[in-house]
Amino acid sequence: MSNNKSSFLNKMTAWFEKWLGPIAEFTNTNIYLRSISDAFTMQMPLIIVGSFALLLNIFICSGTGLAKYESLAWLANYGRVFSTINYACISCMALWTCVLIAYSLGKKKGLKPEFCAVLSALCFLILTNQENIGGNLGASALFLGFFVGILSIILYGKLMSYEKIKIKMDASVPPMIAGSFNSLIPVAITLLFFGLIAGVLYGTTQMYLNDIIYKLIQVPFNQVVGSQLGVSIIIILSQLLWWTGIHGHMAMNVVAKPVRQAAIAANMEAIAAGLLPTQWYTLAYVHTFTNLGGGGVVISLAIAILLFSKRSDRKDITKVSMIPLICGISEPMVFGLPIMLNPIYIIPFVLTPLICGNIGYYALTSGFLTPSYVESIPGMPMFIQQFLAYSGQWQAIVLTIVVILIGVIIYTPFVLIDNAQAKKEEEVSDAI
Amino acid sequence: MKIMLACAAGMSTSMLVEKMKLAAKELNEEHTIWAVSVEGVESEVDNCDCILLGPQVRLQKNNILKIAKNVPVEVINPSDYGRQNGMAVLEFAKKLVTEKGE
Repeated sequence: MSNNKSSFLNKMTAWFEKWLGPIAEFTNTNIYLRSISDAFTMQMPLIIVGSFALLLNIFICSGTGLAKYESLAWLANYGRVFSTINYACISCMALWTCVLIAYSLGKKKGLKPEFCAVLSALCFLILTNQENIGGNLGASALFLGFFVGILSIILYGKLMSYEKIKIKMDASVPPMIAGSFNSLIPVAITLLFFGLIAGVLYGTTQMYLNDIIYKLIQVPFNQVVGSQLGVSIIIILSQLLWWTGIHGHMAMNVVAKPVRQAAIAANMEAIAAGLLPTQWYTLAYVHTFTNLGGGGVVISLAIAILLFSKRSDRKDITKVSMIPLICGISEPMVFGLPIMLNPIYIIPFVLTPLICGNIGYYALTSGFLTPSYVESIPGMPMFIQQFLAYSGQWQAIVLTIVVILIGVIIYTPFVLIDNAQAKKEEEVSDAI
Repeated sequence: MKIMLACAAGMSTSMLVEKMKLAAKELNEEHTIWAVSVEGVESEVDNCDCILLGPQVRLQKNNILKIAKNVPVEVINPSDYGRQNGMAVLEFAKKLVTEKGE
């Protein structure tokens, strides 16, 4: 009996490694995808600061904030203290994404990263509608940023590898000067290449490259990945990866993060324009509905174990994992309980975030909870995290409690199965 | 000895770092132990004797090996990681460095 079971487990593990392994391997090792995700990591502080600037602007300087009181009405004149920060961080985000991708890709390719960053910014600006630069650097140019950040560095790196086009200097010339002459022709060709794209495209169609990338790639991509089904698939894959002990959230970020980044920026734009935000798939959604207390709502499993488990080993590890779980860190439970490769817990580990994620979808699209326009902060204790990210809506707190409760309900039967299993094993070992 | 731990964001490894520091104190040994995100490894790699990866980022090992040059890189045992067994991980790191030295 137990032999059968372990061979089934082995088969299942082998199956996962065969099908999921390559996905995670690919997203983890492909240097272009890694440059994009490194760029997002470096950019995170900007997104958080930019969104809090907007939040402060609303709570201090807007007609619904402090400025609504007559004695404080003068505050309304100083909205620019915050709106300018928001503009620089959020409305120019695609430019920063592009620059940071180029920086990190350049570093990986052994080029001078600072120079790569500047070069990519030049290429990005070459392709942008120069009559309205200020309005074309935001989230709607995010995919242009990916494209330029990667392509400009591939091209430049390739050109730098041809010795023949480098201008050679006499050995007595200081290396700093020789270096900039070395790269003169590669830089010129790279810029000319992007100039050609921009010029020929405009000359023939009166369009800018981003008009095409945005309509043909970014919008469809966001609509597919950011759909209810798309996000559900992300949740399932992410949990299955976690179950094999791989950071699923990080592996899926490659497709999910561009969507969330564009979503939070769109929501901020809506709020700044006095409209209601409409994009539901944001980091706040992830932190509230699918990764509350660790990817897979592990906090609920912890509560179910503390309430119902008869196994002291499970209870001990759960007790020491509580504080990390409250901050959204589930690794002690994943590897210590373990959830990893544990056949009992795979079902609720996938099901709980899937069900709660879909509840979140309905809560956000029905208007019960207004989508987030404040970037959620990883590692922040639960409740505070949701309260901030959903800009103080009480509904966020209610839903956080609902998610935890649903999680406890789903996990409890499996904790009971775990009890029964342990008892059976005990009896078997007693019999021997 | 300078031991650098890395995971996705450097959060869960930073908890283990505290446990390892306690273990070092118990053994009366002086070690510098700290945690970074996998993206942060590159900038600090010249400054450490070994790199330990959280099991959840084990697929990054080959990437890290490339940037680590001669610094030994190993994945922490999942069960020690989950149970935050600072002593076991510290011993593991010491073994890794001495083996490399031989």
